[in-house]
Amino acid sequence: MRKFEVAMPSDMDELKYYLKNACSDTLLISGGTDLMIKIKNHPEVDYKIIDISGVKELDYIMAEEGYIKIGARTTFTKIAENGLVLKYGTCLAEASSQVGSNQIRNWGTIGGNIGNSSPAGDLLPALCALNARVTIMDGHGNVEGIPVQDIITGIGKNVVGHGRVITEVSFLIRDDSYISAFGKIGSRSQVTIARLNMGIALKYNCFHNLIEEANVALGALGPKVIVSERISTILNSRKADNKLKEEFSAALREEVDNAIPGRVSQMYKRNAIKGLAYDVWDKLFKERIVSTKGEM
Amino acid sequence: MNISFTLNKRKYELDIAPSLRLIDLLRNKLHLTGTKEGCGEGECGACTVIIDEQAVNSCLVLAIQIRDREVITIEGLEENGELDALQKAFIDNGAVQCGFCTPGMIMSAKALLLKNPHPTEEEIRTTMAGNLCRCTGYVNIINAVKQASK
Repeated sequence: MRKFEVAMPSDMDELKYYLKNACSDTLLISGGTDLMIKIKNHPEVDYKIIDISGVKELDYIMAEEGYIKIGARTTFTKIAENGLVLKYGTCLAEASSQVGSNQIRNWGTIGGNIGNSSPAGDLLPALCALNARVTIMDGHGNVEGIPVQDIITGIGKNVVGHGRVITEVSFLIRDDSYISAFGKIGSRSQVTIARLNMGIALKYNCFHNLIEEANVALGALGPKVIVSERISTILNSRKADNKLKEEFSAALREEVDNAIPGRVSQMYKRNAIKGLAYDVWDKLFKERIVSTKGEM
Repeated sequence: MNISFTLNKRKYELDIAPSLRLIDLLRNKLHLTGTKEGCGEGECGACTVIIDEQAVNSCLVLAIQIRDREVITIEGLEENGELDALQKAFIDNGAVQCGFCTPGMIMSAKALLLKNPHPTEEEIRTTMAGNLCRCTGYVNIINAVKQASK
């Protein structure tokens, strides 16, 4: 008969206690929208689980010390609807609003999305574009901050390790010149796993229509998010005109070719990314003030 | 494992096996079979219930996760023998054919109307995109939600 043990900490002190006593095969459940499917599909496996759904201290969104800080237990719905995230991390709000279905968004959490480390995880490219950091805590309360792009090591794998938990995700609060957007392509228009997704964050001078900094992250193109410095270089110090839009699209196509050469999905993705590029470009620039008539 | 929770406005204290899913607690232990299991993977929405005023797939929730929370199932909508406005609207609009998706549909819609009493059609469609129906083609369902929202 299968063994199924669950610890239910109700606060951070109890969580630390259970983390200290965790085995190498102890799993963490936050919402459980990913883990529950694995459990259902593997009824033969024994499970030792720490259920952090009762740790209310991990459910928050706040502005503090110049950062937007999001607790690991915060649901996608709360992130998508939060005024601070919409203003300072638009791409993250957009990504959160497109994860799964309404039901999944109401229960799934940002910590779980990162911990699941799926190549198609929607929040990951958005967080990478924002240069977000993840805080990880062990059972003794020791914390470590790691850039999101360094968290994932492979499909379903990350550096969190046993006896540790993701407690927070944070990113810098920047002024109004910083804009961001997220885009996703799947087999359906909603409730779909990403076949391609992208987060992009820019410092944009709207008076001169000039991109002054860019950070572009691509997902569902390999085990880990690709943060493309090459595309950032192409965009930096350039006017956001149709010519640059086409260069951006072409450069994304090259990233696809470099990431998945010879893969069955390469032909589809190298064409689909053009549509994604246009969608994200329009989100960023379509309604912004431009200095030169007709450039957009 | 002993947990306390509120279900359809009634308080419970139960000893629950740690591996039990919420849908199994509702259907098998508490005999509230209105909530249906379609896919068991959070794709079809047939198992939708409301937890703390949010629509959630009960097939993806461990029963112990509802400790100290408030849960509403389709059985909890009726008051004093009177159907909820949504239930009446579904009947009025022919939004029920086989009926299997219906409890989940209604619970998703109920959660929406609790938060947004007058949603646009776009908002209805987006919110209920996680509820699948193989029978109706969705138009009557959307109309039912619109009727209930007036």
